[in-house]
Amino acid sequence: MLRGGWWSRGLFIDLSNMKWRVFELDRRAIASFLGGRGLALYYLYSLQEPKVSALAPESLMVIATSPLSGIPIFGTRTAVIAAKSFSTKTYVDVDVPTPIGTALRQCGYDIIVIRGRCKKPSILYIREDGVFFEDAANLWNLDARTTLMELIHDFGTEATITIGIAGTKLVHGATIVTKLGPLQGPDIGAVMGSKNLKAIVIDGVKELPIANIDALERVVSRYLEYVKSTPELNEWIRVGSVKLLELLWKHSLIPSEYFRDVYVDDLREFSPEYIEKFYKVYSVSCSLCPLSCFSLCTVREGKYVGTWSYIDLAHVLALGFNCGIDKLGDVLYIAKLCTEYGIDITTLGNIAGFTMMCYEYGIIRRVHTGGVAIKFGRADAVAKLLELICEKRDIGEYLAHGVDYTAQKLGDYAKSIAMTVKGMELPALEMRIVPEIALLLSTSPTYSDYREALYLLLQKRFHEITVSDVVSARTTVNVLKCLSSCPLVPALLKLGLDEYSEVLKYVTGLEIPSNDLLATGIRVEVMLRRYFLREVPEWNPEFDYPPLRVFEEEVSKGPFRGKVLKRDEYQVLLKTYYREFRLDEYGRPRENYLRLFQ
Amino acid sequence: MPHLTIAESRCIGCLLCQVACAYRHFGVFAAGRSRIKVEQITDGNFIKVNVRVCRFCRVKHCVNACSRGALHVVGDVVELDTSRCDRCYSCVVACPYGAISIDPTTGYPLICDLCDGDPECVKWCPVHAIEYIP
Repeated sequence: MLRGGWWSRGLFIDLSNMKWRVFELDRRAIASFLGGRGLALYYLYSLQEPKVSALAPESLMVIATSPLSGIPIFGTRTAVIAAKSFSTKTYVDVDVPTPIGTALRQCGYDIIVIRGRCKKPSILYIREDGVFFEDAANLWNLDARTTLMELIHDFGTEATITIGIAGTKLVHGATIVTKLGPLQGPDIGAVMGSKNLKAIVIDGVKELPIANIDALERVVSRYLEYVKSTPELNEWIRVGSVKLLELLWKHSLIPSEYFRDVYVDDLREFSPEYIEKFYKVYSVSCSLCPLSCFSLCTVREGKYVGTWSYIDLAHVLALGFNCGIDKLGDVLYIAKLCTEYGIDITTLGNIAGFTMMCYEYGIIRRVHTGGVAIKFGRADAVAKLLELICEKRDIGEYLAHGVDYTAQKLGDYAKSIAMTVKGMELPALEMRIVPEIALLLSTSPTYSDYREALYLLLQKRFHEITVSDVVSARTTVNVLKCLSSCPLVPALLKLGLDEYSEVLKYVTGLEIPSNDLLATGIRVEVMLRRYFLREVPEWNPEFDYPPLRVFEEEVSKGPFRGKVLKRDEYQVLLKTYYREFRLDEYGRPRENYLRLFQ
Repeated sequence: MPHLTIAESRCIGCLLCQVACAYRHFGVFAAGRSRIKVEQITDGNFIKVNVRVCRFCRVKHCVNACSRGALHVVGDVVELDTSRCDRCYSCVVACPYGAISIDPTTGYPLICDLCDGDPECVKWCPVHAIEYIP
């Protein structure tokens, strides 16, 4: 073990023969990637055969913690779970807000690498003294919310993750579910389902390796005092991340009806005041985070009375505005279904919006949708779609592979509607107003995380954002993901990499200057692109371009009426982006730069 | 009698109180080793926050249940003599509020001692959901 921070031990589990072994982590990998996304990517790249099918038993699923997993305040989301996306072949990961990473570190491990496929549906139960395989046949077809409640009750720990029907049926967008709902990020649930794993439960009691806990406690107390004494942060705790809606709305960054236009009308039911008055029960935060982004809301009257769900900004953007739904009760109903089925909110919002637009243009008809009119604004239509997708029936047979695949099947007109980049569905953020936001969302070598854009928007004034800011935001968010930290918390607490460097010093006992952290962020970006190039040899810079509609359809409402993203303007931004990341003109890592990291 | 009051409607479930408690008593960041427990329970078709911590009852059911005389009242709080405790958990079962948890590391019962009148959980709670009544 190093002085603090890491155990330097990993767990390799082969599901096919139900065996496991402990391995020592590569010290150079720890030094280069710290943990979280970086370490998961490193092991995925080095241990997984190139071009292996993501759903094959040989594919890997990695759970990686960071030295900050289990440390309060700094937005540490405890662990990153990574795998190869089966629909786009890219690297995808989700960060877990519940204490699964803390529990893993309390078992004495930094990382788990899972390979193979269980012979029958199973639950993986990991403790300090071993790995146990429990039968999950009775849970396999159960919804994720019920499964989770049963497992938390049975095992007595919230360090539990599960998948829903979307995961067991290997649907695109299937994700992992925790007590806070489905995690942000597609396809990991399907990879877990392909391994016949219904759930993972981790239970550990070891003391976390911290070099100087008293100094760390003083830093924690300092930031706690800052949180308590800052009115804006108290307001955030009360309202949640939907507070950002007003900011996005004011700057015309909310798209409506599948990116058709900018949403300029009154926020109405989605305004924080309205939510608080009519729907909210209480605020909920991630494990060990003082800033509660989620709100537990319930429907008190109408068609879906009694429905409850946790919601945050992503729900309102993806399932509300982007699907033309203007009632929070309807959004709550779909959010509840997403938790039960275990599907990513952003992916479902994009799939539903795409189908609604195809229905409007007559590309999809009732005969394809089980007789239901898939129109904008209808929550029951989204519910029906989800059912069709998970049963892979009618149009669901295509949609279960994602928007890109469906568009390919439906023809050129559908292809021109699809809002995807690198085959991944885009988050519901308007891209025509600030070209740099389009650059940020389009150049991500993995799926586009809307929180990355929010991180940038919270740091800079909208009209002052430059390509350098995009590069800086991407690098910093990569570092934060290596520390398995949420990007929103440092943006709100005004924590820079210097502050993380200080915290790391107390946790690990090592001086890791912020410049070294920045280098880690760049290294991750290069490694992500390297992974992409290995799995998708047909790579070309077009993969880093936003969808055609962003260049062709003008904004028709509001102060930015007539605005459209110009292709040549974007091309200049992209070239600058490549140059600042020291990529070649095709967006590939340069050979000499690659050698630097080997 | 001094005690803690909890405004459960304010609790955001961050578990910082649990970490604070474990740090104060054991010098570790381990939410599981806490004398205060935040959990979400289902109430019919709904989920709500439930915070379990010693209520400092007048009738000490835990002390009465201990057959080894390991628990005794000191001032206002119940203290555990680990040399006498045989970890039978009669006290855990006897507590009508489920407020006694078990230390996952040592196996001894954990009972709130109000941190000598300066409860750490109160200081850490970011939403002032825990209040100390002296």
